Amino acid sequence: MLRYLGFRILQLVPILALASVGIFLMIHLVPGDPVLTVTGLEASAEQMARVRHEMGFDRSLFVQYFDWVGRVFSGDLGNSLVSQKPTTELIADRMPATFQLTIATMIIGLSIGIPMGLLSASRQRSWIDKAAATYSSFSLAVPTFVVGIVFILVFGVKLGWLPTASNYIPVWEDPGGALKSTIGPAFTLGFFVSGVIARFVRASMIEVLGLDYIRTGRAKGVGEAKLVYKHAFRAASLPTLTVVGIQFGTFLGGSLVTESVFNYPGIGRLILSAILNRDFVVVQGAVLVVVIIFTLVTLVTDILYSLLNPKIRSG
Amino acid sequence: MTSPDETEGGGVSSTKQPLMYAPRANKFKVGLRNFGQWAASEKAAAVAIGFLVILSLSAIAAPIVAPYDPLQQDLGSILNGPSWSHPFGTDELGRDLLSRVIFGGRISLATGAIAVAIAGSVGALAGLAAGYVEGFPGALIMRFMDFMLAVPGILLAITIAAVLGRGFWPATIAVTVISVPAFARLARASVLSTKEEEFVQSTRSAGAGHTYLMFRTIFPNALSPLIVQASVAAATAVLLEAALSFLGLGTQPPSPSWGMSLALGKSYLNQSVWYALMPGVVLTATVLSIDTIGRALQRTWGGSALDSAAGRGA
Repeated sequence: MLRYLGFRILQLVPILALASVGIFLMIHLVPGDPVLTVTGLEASAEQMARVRHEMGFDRSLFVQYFDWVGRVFSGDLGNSLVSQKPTTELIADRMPATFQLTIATMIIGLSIGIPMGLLSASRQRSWIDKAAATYSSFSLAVPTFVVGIVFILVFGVKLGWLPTASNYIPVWEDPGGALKSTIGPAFTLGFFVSGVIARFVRASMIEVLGLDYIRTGRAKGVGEAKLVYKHAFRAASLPTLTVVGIQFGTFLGGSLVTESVFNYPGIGRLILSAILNRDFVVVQGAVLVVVIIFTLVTLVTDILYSLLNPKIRSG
Repeated sequence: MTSPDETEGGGVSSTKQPLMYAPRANKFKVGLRNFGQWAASEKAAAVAIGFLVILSLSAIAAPIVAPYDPLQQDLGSILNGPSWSHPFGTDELGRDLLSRVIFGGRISLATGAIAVAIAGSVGALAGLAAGYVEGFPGALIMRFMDFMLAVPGILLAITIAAVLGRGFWPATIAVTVISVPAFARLARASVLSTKEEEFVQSTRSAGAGHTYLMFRTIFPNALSPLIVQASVAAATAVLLEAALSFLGLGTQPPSPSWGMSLALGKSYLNQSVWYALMPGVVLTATVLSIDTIGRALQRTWGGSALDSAAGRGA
């Protein structure tokens, strides 16, 4: 187990190194002078040269990259070109909002997706199965901003139950307010996740239900419900864990579109506005954090998987 | 490959090489009959093809089909609901929404087609090469693809679009770039699985060169999963283009892309429901149709489960 763990953690090093180079290059190939973001368009040539030197943009890309990576290791992602605030602070401000949204999204996605997947796997080709298949096709095809707009239209504009723009209200401060402000974006993303999970649970359940030990159980007279919900689901939940982990990691990185639709102040909106403002220090730092979060969540998922499935450890 | 010509091989189920080998003389007739049978057994896909054909034709012939000029303003009737003269209603400048949706279809469908055509050929070639030439060059190509898959698709697309500026081409290039890795992976996987098969080995021992082996022997066997992938990628491309336009990074006003219409319509939800709803409905129907065709093709040809969720849901 330890060897496996060590191997998986070592694997992170090249991935993250490559990712950091990729992000850095992508940002620095941006046409347009980052100095203009700081000085404004009317700056004189000398002013610009001074700012460029102060910010270190006159050095070679190579030097700049290692300077950046070095600072990243000491927890410094640089200061925003627009607000002058440290990028780490900006990210830390937004992270709780995105975290709360992700948890709510996963709760909605799992509580719809798992029962639906189980039901359609145990009643293959029934009307439930067909309805569930239609549901998940829809959830994958409807763009999140369409779901979001319809949600706002129905619950915000027509019924007036919910605010048309969300704000981040921590759940421990005001549970009711938090529910009202998070349910919109969480439902929008949860609708998508539930379709992904339902489809996946169904597929892995069908695979497991065809295995010998289930047949043996059935022959021995184990009840169908116990067979499906206890024996088969336990085996099928393992591969499902991976999918859930990937979704969780993705949404922890912020959802640019959904957060924009609801004006929800998460990581996604931070990145989007930084991109639109050409605040490349923030883009670079935030995207790196997003990629690190995603890789770490995938790592934790893999470790959990191996803990639950001893076959992996030796292999 | 962009508009998967379903006449090819439709109806021929799960044999190893479903694509070729209809008698040459009446290939078209046989194809048509096969397609008819296939469509009868996949009714949802048949409806989806019908919808996409109508959509594509009206997009191509937009200036003839659209009842109004999509940019023509009529400040006397703004934010109206559907009526006989404006079936989808009007926007905040009194422009006809139906006409704007028809013209917007050009943008969405063009992005989907271009992205799949280019990403499909580049990705397939890269995957083919990476699978055929194992060792360092192949590994390098695939590690690069892995990196691209490690960054969430929409984030990568937005960054690329922002780097290139705003407009139709930046958005289309962004969507194309992020569509490449999936094709490369798929092509490589099918090359690796067919490479050691007997018919490839025997062709090789018969003296076939690398080019012949790669393109004439191995590639045709990798084609059906790639076509299925093309449909998934086309749907995702349409979705992403709409998302970019929605965020203001795609085609710029006054050009009537669906995503942008949705973003504009969102600010007028209080006055008119139809403004945001109509482009949303057509966009959803388009993505759903392409997905439906992809799933039907997958059922026909078999193959591994596709991850149609990848790159969506942001």
